[in-house]
Amino acid sequence: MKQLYTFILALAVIAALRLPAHAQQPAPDSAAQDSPIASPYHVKAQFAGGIGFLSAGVGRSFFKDRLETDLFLGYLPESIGGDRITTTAIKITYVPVKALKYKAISWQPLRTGIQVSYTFGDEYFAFEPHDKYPKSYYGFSTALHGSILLGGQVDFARVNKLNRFAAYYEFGSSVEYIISYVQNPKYLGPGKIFNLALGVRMKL
Amino acid sequence: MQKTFKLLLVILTYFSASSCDDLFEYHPNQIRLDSDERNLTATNLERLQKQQPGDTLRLIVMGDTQRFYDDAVDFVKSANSRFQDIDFVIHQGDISDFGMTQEHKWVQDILKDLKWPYLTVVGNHDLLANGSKVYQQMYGPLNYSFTYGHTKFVMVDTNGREYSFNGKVPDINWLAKELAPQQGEVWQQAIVVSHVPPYDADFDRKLEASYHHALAQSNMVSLSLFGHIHNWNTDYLYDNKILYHGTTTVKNRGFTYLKVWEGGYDIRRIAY
Repeated sequence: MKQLYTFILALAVIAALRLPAHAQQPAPDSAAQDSPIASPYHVKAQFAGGIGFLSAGVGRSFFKDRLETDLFLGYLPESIGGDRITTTAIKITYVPVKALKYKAISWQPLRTGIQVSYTFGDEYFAFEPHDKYPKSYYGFSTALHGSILLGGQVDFARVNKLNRFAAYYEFGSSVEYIISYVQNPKYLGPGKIFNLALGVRMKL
Repeated sequence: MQKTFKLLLVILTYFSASSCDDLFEYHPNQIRLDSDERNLTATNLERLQKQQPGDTLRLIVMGDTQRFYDDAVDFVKSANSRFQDIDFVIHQGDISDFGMTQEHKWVQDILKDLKWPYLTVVGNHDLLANGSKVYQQMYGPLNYSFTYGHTKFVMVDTNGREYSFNGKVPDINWLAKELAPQQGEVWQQAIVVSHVPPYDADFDRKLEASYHHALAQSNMVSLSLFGHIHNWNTDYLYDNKILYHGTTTVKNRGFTYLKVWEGGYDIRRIAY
C-alpha cells in the first residue's frame, strides 16, 4: 500500500509541475467549444468513500466553483459489505488552487474537504443514550463520523456533450483513524488510514 | 494532455492490480474480511488441538488493545523474545475501540506474528455499532469453551451494559452447563475468562451473585480471568475459593504469565 501511495503522490507531483507550463499556452481551439454550464446546482454519483458502496448526492457550488456543498445518501448491500448499511452525509469542499486548463479539459489538482456522515440503524448512536451509559462513558459517537478529504477533479466543461460532467477522486480518512494514527505513528501510516473514493458530477 | 491520459491509464491499471480492500472503504462499519481473517477462534483452536499439552500449561494473558497498536506491536515482540514454551495466548477483550472491522484487522495483523495461537473473549467496545456481527464473523461465537489438557477454558460475554442490563448477559444457564463435566470428558478443572469482572459497574448487578455462585457451585473453578479495568487486580472477591485475576491493558505495557497445573496455578505480572 505504501508503495502505491508513493507512486500516486509522485504522479500527482509530476503532473502538477508539468501541466501549468502547458496551461499557460493559449489553447487555440478553446473558443470554438461549448461554454461551461453556469448553473450552480449539480448531482453526483460516488463509489466508496465511507458512505456506502454507491451514493448519490445533490449540491450547489459557490464563488465560481471555489466552494461546494453536497448532501449524499449512500447504500452498502450486505453481499458487498458484510452488513446492510444506509448512510447520509454532508460534504463541504473547498478548492484552494485555480483549475489548470488544457484544451477542453480543466483539472483541479487539489480539492480539500470535510464530511460528516450519519449511519442509520438502531445499533448506532449519534449521542450516547443516557439510559444506557453514565455520562461521557465512551466519549464518541458510533453513528456520526467526521472525515477529512483530499482529492482532485477533472472537468469536461468544454468537451462537446460532456460539458456538464466532471470526474473526481478523493482520499478520505475518518477522525477515528486520524486519532489512531497520531497515537500510533509506528504501526499506522497515511496509506493505512486514507481510502479512495471515485465519483462523477453532473451540472444541472 | 496525452501524457496525462497515459498517466491516468497507468494509475487505473495499478489500482485494479492492487488489493481494492485496502484502497476503497465503503463504510467504517463494513465487514469485509479476507479468508485468513474469518473464524479465527476455530482456526486457532485447530492449531491448539495439534499441540500436545503438558502437565503444566503455560499461557500469556493480555488485552484491551483498543487503539493501542504500537504497544500491541511491542507486546508481540516482548512475548516472542522472552518466552519459548507458551501453549497459547488469551486476549481479554476490547480488541477494538470503536467496534470497527478495520481495527480488528489491524490487531489481527499484529497478533498473527505471535509464535502461538491466540484466543479472545469479547469486550464491551467490541460490541459497539455492528461490532457483535463483526466479532462473530471474525472470531466466532460470543460464548464458547474449549478443553486443553486437564483444563477447560470457558470464555463468556459479561458485557451486561451493552445489552442494557437485560438480565441475560452473562448467560448463567450456559455457564453452569459448561462447568458441569459430562460423561466421557477428561477435564479436571475450569478457568472462566471474561472481559468485565463481576464486581464492576458494567456487569449486570442482578447477575453478580449468581455468576459467582455458578463458578463456586461447580467445584471446578479456582481461577477466573478478566480485563476491562486497565489495571492489575488480583483478589479473592467473594470468598477464598475463587481468585479473580485482572490483567492490565497493553497500553500500560504489562501482561500475565500464567502457569496452570492440576489443582493449582501461578500468576506473574510481566512488564515490558
